Amino acid sequence: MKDYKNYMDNLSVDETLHEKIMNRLTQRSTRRHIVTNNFRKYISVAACAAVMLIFVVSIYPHMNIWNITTNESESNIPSTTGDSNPLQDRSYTKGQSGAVYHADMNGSSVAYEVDYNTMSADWPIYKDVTELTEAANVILLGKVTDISFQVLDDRTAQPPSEETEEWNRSLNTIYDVDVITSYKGDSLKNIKVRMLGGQKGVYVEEQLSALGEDAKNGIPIMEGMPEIKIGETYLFVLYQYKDTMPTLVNVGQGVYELHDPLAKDQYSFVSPKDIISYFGKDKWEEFKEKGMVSE
Amino acid sequence: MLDLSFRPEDCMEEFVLKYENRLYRTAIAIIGNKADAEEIVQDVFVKVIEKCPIFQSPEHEIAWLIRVTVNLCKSRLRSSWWKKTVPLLESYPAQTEEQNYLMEAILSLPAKYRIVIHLFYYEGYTTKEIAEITEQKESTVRSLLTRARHKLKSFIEEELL
Repeated sequence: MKDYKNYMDNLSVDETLHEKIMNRLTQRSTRRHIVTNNFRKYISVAACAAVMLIFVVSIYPHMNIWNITTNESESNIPSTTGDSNPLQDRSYTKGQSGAVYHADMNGSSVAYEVDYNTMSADWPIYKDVTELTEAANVILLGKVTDISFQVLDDRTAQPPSEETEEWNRSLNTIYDVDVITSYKGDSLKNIKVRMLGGQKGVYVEEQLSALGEDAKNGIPIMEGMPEIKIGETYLFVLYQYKDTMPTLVNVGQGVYELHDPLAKDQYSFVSPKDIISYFGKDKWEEFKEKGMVSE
Repeated sequence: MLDLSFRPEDCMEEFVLKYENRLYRTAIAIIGNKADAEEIVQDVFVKVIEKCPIFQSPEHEIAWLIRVTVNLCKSRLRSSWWKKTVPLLESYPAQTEEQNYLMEAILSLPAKYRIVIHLFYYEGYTTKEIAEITEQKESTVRSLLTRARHKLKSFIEEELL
């Protein structure tokens, strides 16, 4: 290990890096100083505002000037009682802190403090329908029936083994999809689609439970990930590597809502109609016959 | 108890000069490339400014800094699976052929082994101290070290055959 020690001894911070470090620290320190000065400057204003706020909160409602009554059903906080869909029983409302979520389950209130870590990735972007459909090896029309969460090894997309290091374990959202029409790839009745990252503000308990010990690092969220809902039908453009679960080709071109099949994606201006028609005009007619679009 | 709380306004440059090389080497050893190590070492000092920790001793001070470095490297490794980086030996070529073999072997190991190798062989920490820094059991650290040695040995033997 002498060679290792010698190699490491030769590595040192050069002047440029040292200056970068000092600049960042100076900026940080100055910013803190400015914040402190501003704090002093505005403290009196803040104190006045606080007094007024206390007045408004504590006295104003008792004055009952306009005789306003609060109707719970009009509240924008979702109610969970009497909801017949068990998957929707867990509704979460975002707290003011931005990180505290309240889940009302079976009448009892549970509070979670959750950190979310946003991940971003450099996805390949496909410039037209040909590139997109060639890049995908699974393209299908399907209805999402369930959403679950699983930690997978980033390198293999399989459940982690003993050898999987902590930083190679990532939470994935798994969508159960009933296949309506398969345009490319094997014709299956149903399929599981995975996407790297969890979901913000929903299924918090399920995600933390799937993360296990890794929950201490927070829930990773993939930047730009589209919202995919249970019960909705989508056009999926997927890539499947060997025997792994297929995943979206990218966050912008991997899944299409069908309420407007002519609407084009923001990256390549490809619409669901373009993708379906790519596999033959009859496929588009067949799609229309299913009553999913009115032209 | 010594109060060595970090006051950036008083001794920022002195503090950075004292530790920057050790932290940079630790980051390089774990992350395996120059660009990420440079960012990590900057982030470590920013953390010091943000947290203003109170250290009980100089040993506690460096152990805290190394722990932050290790954790930042782990986070970076967790999130940088899509990145392409310049290999370390291209940025810092080895001086001799033997050194090159050894560095190639070490860099081919998963990061969890590189962490314990660096802290044990370069920083000179005991397995107990490494366990505290990396928040693992001492038995885990010992087993990682043993497996790392075996892996290194077989890599070097394969290369020389």
